[in-house]
Amino acid sequence: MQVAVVGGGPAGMAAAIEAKKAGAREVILIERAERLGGVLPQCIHTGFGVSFFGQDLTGPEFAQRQEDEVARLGIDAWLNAMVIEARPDRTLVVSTRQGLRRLQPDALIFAVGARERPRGAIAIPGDRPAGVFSAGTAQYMTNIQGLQVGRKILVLGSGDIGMIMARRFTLEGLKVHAVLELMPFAGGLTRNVQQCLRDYDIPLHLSCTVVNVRGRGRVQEVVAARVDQNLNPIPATERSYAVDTLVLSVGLLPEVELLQQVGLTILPQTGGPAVDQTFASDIPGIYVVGNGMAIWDLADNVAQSAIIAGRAATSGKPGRGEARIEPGAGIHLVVPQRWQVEPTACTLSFRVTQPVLGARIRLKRGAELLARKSYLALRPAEMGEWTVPVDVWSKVEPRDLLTLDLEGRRE
Amino acid sequence: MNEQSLICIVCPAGCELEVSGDGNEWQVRHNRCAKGIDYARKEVFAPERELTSTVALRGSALEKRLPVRLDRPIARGLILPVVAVIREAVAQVPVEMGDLVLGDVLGLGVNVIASRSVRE
Repeated sequence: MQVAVVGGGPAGMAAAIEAKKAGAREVILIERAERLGGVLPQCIHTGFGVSFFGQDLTGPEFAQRQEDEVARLGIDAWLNAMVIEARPDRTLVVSTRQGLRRLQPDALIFAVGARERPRGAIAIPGDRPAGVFSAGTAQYMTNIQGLQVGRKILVLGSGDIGMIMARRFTLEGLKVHAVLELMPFAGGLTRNVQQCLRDYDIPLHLSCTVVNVRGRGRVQEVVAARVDQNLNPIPATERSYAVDTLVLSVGLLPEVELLQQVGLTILPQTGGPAVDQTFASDIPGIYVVGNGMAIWDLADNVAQSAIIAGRAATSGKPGRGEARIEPGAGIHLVVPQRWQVEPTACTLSFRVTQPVLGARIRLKRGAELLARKSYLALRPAEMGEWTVPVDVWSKVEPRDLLTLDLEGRRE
Repeated sequence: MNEQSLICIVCPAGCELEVSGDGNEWQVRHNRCAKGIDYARKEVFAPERELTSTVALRGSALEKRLPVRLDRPIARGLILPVVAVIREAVAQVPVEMGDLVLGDVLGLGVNVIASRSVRE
């Protein structure tokens, strides 16, 4: 049994480790960068590993533990190796330092991760000076390259990386004027609002966006405005910031080029392909895990998804047919979207469309209520989890259409 | 203190705690677990934080910076002075995760340790 894993971040390493432990004879881990770890080596803050390792780790520590395990198990890690072609029959063509290599593994796990949403995707008007960075780029420059991105900084978007970088810039002696957020609620984890912004008196302005960037050569001024309920800027609410740097933390998108190349359909809700409870895609022997499948909150989540796939890829038993699971009212996305009918418990992961206090989530088959669970609070920034018990799943039949919806009140 | 709202940062759940009362008798609400009560007591009377940063790294062809962390949380008010000390530190290859980079910073009994291994 040969298993190939594309992507050497936390998901890819977890998948490779688990496949090897489950008895795969040969596991090949393909990473295009010069080091393993994906984004983790630049995420120097803590908050990783609480559920996966039972310990609060920094990103580099999380990656190092996995990297040491990869080496210990004798997994063949190809660095500086990029998949340039992937086919539905699992054939990969990989560009490596030794030249092109071709392989056709028995199972193929894509752990290809995500990209940051770029400036073009949010259509910020104005000049095109230097000094506009995505948060991840700013993080790479600061933490890996040891460069200073600017002196006076404005952050657009309250995603986790944006808030964490606002704190990091402050600790490096730079001035963060504010963090602006388009939505009426923070985009990242609530804990980061406290420990990254409130701790350092960095203002968080909700329902705001950037309406102009001015500067010749370098950013000199960024103009922000409040937005209305439809997220359109409100005239005469403009406020000018005299900054030299604009950092964008406006979300992540699964990196789907290879997934589309093998013929997988990309879902609008997740931005990734549909999977079943083992993260198997629609194509036999091809699995998709981590942020390449859907954007998760934490490295712990992507690694956990990869463990399930790493195990399934090695055993690979077919089910007796499948049901579909779709998001209903109040639910933005649900994972998995397919259920191979079998009597086991399964954890559904989902995001709500709006913050809700006292939420009740329902799993339904048509009008029939299969199960219900209450939550103290749910937020779009934090993936909800529901381990639906086995007695519910044993009622599900092939070709059933299940919906997950929200019965609750707005915050 | 009469009433204070806090976001618990012990774990990613981020409970929005309501703390009320005074030093003798006080109450925490909206915590999902017991850790929230400990967190609220500390946060109100002696807030502490983890601290991570990077230091210069010599001797590696690939890596210019070494990520580091403190081996325990420190008082929130000490973050900036401790960061200033860390900024001047330099590490040398080879270094293993957990290796001591700076001992007993500012006499606080707290150590700066490497967050990853750089072997060459």
